Amino acid sequence: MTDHVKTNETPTIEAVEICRHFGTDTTRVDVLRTVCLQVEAGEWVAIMGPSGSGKTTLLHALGGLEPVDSGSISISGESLSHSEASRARRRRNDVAFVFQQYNLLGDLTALDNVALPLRMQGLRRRAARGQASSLLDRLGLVDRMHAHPAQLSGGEQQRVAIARALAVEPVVLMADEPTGALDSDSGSLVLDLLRSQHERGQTIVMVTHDHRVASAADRVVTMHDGQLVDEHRMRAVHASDLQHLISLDVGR
Amino acid sequence: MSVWRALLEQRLQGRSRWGVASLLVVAAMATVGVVAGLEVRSGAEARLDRLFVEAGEPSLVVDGGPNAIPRVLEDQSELVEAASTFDATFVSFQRPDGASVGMGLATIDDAASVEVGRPILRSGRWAVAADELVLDAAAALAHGHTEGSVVTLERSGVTIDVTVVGTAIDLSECFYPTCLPLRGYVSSDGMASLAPEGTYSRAIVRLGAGVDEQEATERFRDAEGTSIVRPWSSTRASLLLPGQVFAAFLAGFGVFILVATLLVVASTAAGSVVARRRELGVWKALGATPRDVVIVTVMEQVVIGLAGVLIGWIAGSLLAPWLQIGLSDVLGRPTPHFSLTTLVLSGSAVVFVLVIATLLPARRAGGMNVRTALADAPTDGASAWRSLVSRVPLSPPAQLGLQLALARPGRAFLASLAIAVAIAGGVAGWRLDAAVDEVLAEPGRAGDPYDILVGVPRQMPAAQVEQLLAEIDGIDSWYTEQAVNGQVNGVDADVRVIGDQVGAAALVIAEGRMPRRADEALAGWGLLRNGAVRIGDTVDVDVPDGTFIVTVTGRHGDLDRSGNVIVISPEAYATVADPGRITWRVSAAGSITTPELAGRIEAAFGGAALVQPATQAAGELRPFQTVLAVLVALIALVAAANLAATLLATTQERRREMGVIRSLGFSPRELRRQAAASGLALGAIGMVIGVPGGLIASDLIVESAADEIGLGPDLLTPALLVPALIAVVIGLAAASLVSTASGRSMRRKAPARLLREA
Amino acid sequence: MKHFLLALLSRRATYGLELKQQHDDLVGVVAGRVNVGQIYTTLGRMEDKGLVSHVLEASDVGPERKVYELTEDGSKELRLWLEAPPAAPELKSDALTKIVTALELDHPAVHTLIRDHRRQCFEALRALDMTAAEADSSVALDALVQAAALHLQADLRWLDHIEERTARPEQELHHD
Repeated sequence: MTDHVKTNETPTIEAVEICRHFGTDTTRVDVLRTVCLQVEAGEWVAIMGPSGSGKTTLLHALGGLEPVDSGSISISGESLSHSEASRARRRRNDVAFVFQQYNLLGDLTALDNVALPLRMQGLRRRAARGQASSLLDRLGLVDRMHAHPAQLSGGEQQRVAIARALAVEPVVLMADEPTGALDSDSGSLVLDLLRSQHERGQTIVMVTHDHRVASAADRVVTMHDGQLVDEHRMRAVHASDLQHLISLDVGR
Repeated sequence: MSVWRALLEQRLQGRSRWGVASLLVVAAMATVGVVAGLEVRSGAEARLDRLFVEAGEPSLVVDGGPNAIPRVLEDQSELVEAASTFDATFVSFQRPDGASVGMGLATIDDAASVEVGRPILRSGRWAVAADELVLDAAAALAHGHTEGSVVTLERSGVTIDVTVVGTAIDLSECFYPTCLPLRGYVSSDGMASLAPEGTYSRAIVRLGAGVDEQEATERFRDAEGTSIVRPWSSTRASLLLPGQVFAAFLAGFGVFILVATLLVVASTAAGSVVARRRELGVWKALGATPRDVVIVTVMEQVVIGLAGVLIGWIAGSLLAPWLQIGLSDVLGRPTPHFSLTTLVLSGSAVVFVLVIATLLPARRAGGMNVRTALADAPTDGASAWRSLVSRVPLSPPAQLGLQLALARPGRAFLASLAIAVAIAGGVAGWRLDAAVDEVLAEPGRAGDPYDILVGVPRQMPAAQVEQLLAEIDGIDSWYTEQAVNGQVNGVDADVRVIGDQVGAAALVIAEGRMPRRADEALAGWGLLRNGAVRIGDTVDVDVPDGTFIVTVTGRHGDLDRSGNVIVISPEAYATVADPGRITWRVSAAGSITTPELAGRIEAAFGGAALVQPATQAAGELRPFQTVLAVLVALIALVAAANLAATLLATTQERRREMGVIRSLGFSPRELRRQAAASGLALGAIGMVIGVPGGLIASDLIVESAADEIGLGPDLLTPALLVPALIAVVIGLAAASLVSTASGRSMRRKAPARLLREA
Repeated sequence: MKHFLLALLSRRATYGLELKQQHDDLVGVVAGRVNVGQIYTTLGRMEDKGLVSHVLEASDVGPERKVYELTEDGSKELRLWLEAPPAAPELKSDALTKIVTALELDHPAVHTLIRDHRRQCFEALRALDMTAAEADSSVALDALVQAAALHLQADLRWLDHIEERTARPEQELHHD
């Protein structure tokens, strides 16, 4: 993990006073209340908070999956527009999502799932499949390439989903509880995958309720009741620091 | 756009083979119908028009006296570009089954010299000797005559046997076998031996360019000495009619399939959108715009549909030559013709229908909120419907079935509508069928209430005939009939002189009363329809031999003559003419069969009489009944498909709920009951609309059909209660069967699978 | 420490230095390296109680070394200890006491305490993950790492729980 240093460059994501509500009048719920957030290039931000705090909505909004009622969001300096069509374009090229439920398309093989966003960008089938295949290879899934999601374990599916997200080389990777549905071993694999991507410079915004997963990020922000209430920047630590950080006793 | 192609590929890959095949087949079937219909129609017209030119463009056929015709031609010479004249006469042609029909004969010695109205030789050669005949090609086909067969012609008591030496196509009248009279060609020698006292003349005329056909027809008609004038436009229309009707039927079949497709595709598309919501969420997350989603969702169907259109276009174009009713028998089969127009037309129609069917669901898919699409929990809340239904006191399976059926009111309505149409079709079809059977069973309604026709030699006196008949055991009654062409108050009509009490003729009276006196008459609906002749009126009846007056006392039903008929007594006829050729029409008693009685009559007359059992209108009406049955079956099939699709779509949407219920322990029997309840619910709604609808529709159809064919109103009273009851029972049973069967695949899946989100 | 050494010696007799080595290899990454003096002190005490005994071994380099081994009493002691049920779960930490006290007194410092503890736990988790990745795992180390991770996570969850139940003074984003 990089020791984060504030730079003067444009932040990768800049959200200014975004608000969003659902329902009207008596049923109105303010899900996001004047939230401001900046994510720097290459930074890994974890968003935590109790359920109902708005963290998933925040993630969706930052990635252009949902509109906001007021405020502005920019990715790479270009603000997200109100039109769904324009946001869709950003989702095709700049942003990629990974979901708790993987959300792979059951009709397609793992390979074709990963190739799909490339095909949507206009790549010919062979080229798309080639890139998808090398990506899956890099992720260690080459022998599961031709399987359908139904034949893959949860962990494998999530890794295929990550491959799909990485296929378009997104500016930022949005992960919504990526390990939420996985057992600890698969979860570790997925976390390692995210870690290695982060080491390669990938900007990641992640929602999680798992503190262990969150600890891998550069920065942990906490949401409560629609607002960002807390933030911890992780300083760089080494393995050798551990003994000073905890006091563990094997008995006298 | 690449997004569309990528997503379309994915959708088509994932589609079940069965789903693709069924849409393909339906689109192909619809296209076959439309294309074949179009090809049959245009092909027939094209070929006929070519023949017209080959025959020398016979615009007008004029029959008249041998002196009158040349004079008329000269008088109207400014209208005429060219004309050919023939000696013609009218003979009786004995059919293989013994009956005689009228036949027009004309003289042709050298066909090549005929400029206008040239008959086109199909086989053999032209007649040379006096005992040779060239027969109309269609008639030859219909009656099984080929070259070398011998036929008997009779005129004014003179009978000669002639040998068929060739067949020809004649465009001066409609040449389809059901058009009478038949036509034949003999040499001058042949004509001389058949009509020694002379012939009438026939002129076939080519009108000059720019001459109005209607006007020319009238002028020729008004000219003195002409009897019949027939313009090409009306002949052409008659020639093309059977083919056109069939073509319309084919095309109509195609359109019907399309409309049916619309219903089913709309249902399944709507259901699939909700069932696929997670997939739609993924599409959106990957960056598909709402417009992308709409386009791909619609394209999915259109692409498959177009593939079906292509198949159907090829099949339909190949099939069309085999569907040329009438014409192809005589003219031979045309080569298959592939027209870009038909392809474009049917393609557009199919695309149009599919777009309409899927557009609304596609737009819903496009506008679906991503959060909703990806949400874990089911998103439809409780609706007013469901709370209403839950108050009905039914067993849990039945209640659930009811809820599922009504879950999507719009779709439920469509399905019920389809069922209603099917039921209405069934009820109407049954009643129409019953009406036809009624007509067939009681010839009295059709105007010919007899079982056996007895024709005797001219020399035999009437009294002798009746004495012989009286001695035969098994005859219930008889009447005499003589038919003459005439006019009633100026309107062309058949004059039927029916003797031995018209009442004995057992004609069925629809209005008014039976004639009691000699100067009273019955009129057919055709004469009364436009109100020119009313019951109670005194009318002028013109026959070739004179005019007399009768009073119309009632209306009877008459099928064969389109209702343009008047029934008078022999006494009234005798005031102006001598009795002509009389036939005896005999009704068999219930205890004996018609063939048996016919045998007895033949024996009694010692073979001197022509004994012919009645030919029923059955020939024309039976195919109609078959077609009707097929149509009703098709409609029922569509309704079943729609019902299945609707229910399947709804259960797919609610698969989670189904999974929960099954995990709570609903037994397979209870699940079947639930499915049956769904079907019954929709069926019942369909019933409520369909039964009254069917009754009303069939009443309307029977009335208008009876009007068209000359039976007139109030003649048929198709049953009411029985078809309605049967429709209810069958409809409900079928609906619950279909819904139970269609739910099978869902019931077989393990509950765990249903609980897992797709 | 006593029982730990008995366990090590039950595998084989060895020098005090090697005992330190074994300890550090097994759990040093997490528990820290042990002071060799502490080992000898403990060994001495155990020898007094008759749980271990030593023999002298000649060495080529330097003075004779003591080789310790388990006695029968020591073996019995180890066995009895292993077979005795564990003591009740222990819940004892400075953070716990402090934060609970501050909560009860409604002390304004409670929020800072919570945040500080949270950060410590996060950083510890981070280091723990790194450790787990780098070191070869043995059964013991693995178990210890998991124990540490889960306890840290438990603390973090506890902090979340507390925070939810206490009102926040200002709705303002706290930064480090």
